[in-house]
Amino acid sequence: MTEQPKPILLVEDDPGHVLLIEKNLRRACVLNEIIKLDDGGKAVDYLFSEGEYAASVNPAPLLILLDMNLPVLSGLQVLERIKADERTRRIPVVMLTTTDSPHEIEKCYDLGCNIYIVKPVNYVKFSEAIRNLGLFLSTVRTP
Amino acid sequence: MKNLSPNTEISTDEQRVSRQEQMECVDRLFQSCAVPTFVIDSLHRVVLWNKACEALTGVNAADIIGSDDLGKVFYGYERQVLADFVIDGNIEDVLNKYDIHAHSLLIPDGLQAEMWYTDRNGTERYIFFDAAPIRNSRGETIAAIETLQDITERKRAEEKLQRIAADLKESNDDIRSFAYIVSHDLRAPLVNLKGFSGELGMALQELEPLFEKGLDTFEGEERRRMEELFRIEVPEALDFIGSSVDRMDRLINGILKLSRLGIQDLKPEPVNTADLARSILRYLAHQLEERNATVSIGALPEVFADRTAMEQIFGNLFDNAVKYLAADRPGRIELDAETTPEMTVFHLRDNGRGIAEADMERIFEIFRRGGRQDVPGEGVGLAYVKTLVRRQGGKIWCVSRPGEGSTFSFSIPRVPEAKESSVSGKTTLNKGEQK
Repeated sequence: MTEQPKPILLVEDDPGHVLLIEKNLRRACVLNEIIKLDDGGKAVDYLFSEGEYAASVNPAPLLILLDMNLPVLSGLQVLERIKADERTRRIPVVMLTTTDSPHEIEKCYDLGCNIYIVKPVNYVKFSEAIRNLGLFLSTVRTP
Repeated sequence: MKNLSPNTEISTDEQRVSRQEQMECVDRLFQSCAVPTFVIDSLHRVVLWNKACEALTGVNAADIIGSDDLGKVFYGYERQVLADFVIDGNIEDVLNKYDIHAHSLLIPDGLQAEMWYTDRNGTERYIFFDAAPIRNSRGETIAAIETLQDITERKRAEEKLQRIAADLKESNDDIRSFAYIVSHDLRAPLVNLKGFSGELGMALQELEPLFEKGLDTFEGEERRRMEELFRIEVPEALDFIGSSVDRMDRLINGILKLSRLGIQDLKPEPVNTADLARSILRYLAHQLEERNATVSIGALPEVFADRTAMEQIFGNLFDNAVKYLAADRPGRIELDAETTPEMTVFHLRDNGRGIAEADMERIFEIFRRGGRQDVPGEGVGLAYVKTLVRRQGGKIWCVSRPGEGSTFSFSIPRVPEAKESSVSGKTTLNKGEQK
C-alpha cells in the first residue's frame, strides 16, 4: 500500500489561469489532487485551519502554486505567513505572476519562495515551466 | 551714538567737531537706509532705530531707544531677537526659535534667520533677519546690528511654487502607477487568450484523426465546406488571435518598460562614453556590415550619468540610425559631442532616409512611428530614450532632411541635477550651520 499522495494547492483568482495550469499539470502526468482556492485569505485559512476551515484538518500540500495578485490577502502576504510558520515553512512555494519586475522577483525570493514563474503569454514556455515542475514532482513522489 | 564708543578719548575741540560731523553723517546714512535696521548695545538696549524700521514695525525710534525689551515690539511677548543671540553668543538657542537659520555667508559670526510672525496689528509677515556683531578694537562685542526684511510676497510665491511642484509630482506618480497597474492587469487576460487559443490548437490536432474518419461520411459541397472550416478557417482565426495577442503583449511590455523607467533609481557615476559607444558598435557590427555602413566616432568626453541609462540611450539611437539607413547608398553614421558650461551635448548624424517634418513631433511619442512602416518595431525606443534623457535633466531633439539623413542630439548636465529636495523649510539655509 502506498501512502495517499499529497495534494497540490493552487491559489489563483483567474478561473482561466486555473484551468490552464491544471491542464498543463495533468499533461505533465501530475496526478495529485489539486485544491483550488481563489483568494489569499482562503489559502491562509486552509493552511492553518482557520476561518471556514477551522473544523477540518487539511493534509499539508506537496506544493503551493501561489499567484501574486490575489484578493483579500496578496500572494506576498500569504507567502510571508507560510514562511514564518514552523508548520508550513518547508512546503515548496511557486510564485505565479504576470510581471517580471525585478523588484517583485527579489521580494519573493527574500520572503523564501522557491521558484518564481512569470506567466508568459507565450503558451509553450508556460506549459514547459509547469511541465518541468510536474516532472520534478513525479520524481520526488516515487519513494 | 555715544553708547557705541564709551572709551573713545576725545582730545581736542577740533577733533570733537569733525567727530560730531562724522557721526551726523553716519546717522543720516543709517536713517536713509531702505532696509529696516536697528542696533542694540551689549546690555541689549536699543541704541539706533532707523526710519524704515519705524515703518515696518509702526514703532517710533523715540519710543524704543533705550528699551531692552525688543521682543515685545516684534512678538508682543518676551523673547530674544536675533541680535540678542549675537550679543550673548548662544547660537544654539537660535535653532528652536526660527523656521530657517544659518550663519551669515558674508559676516563672520553673523546670523541669518527667517520666520513667519504676526505683528502687533495682527498682520502675518515673513521676515528675513540678519544680525552681526559690532566689535571694539579689542575684538569685544559691544553691540549688534540687525536688519529686517519683509519677504512675505516672495515667501508666498515660493510656497505656491512648492504646492504646484508637489501637485505635479503627485500627478506624475499617479500616471506612473496607472501605467504600471494597467499593464500589469492587462496581461492577465492575455495569458488566457494566448493559453486557450493554444488549447484550441491542440484540440484541433487531437481531432485530426477523428475528423479524417468522419469526413468520409460527407460528400460534395458539404465535404468541401467541412474541410475548408477545419483546415483553413479555424486555424486562420487562431493565427490571427495568436499574432494579435503577441502584438498586444509587446505593446503592454512597452508601457510597462516606460512606467518602470519612471520609478527606477538612477545612479550617476563617471561614464566613459567613448568606451560605451565602441562596445555598442561591437554589438551592431554584423548589422553595420550587412548595410554596408561605416561609423566614425569623434572625441567623446566622460559624463557623470547613470551607466545603464546611457547604454540604453546610445544603444537605441544607434539601433535606429542603422535600422533606417537608406537602401540606395552606403550608410554613414557619425557620433560626436560638444561641451557647454552646463551640458554635454551628443550628436548622432546619419545619412539615412530622414524624417518628414510632419512626423517630427510624434517620433518621440510611445507607439508612434514616422515614415514607411517597413521596418519592424513597436514605436517604444525613442519614447524610452526621451524619458531616460529627461530623467537625467537633459533634452533630446532631432534635425532631419527627408532623403538626406537625420541628426539626433541630446544633452546631459555636466553637474547632475540635485535630488528633489524636501519641501520643509529647513533645507535652504542650513548649510551654513555645518561649517
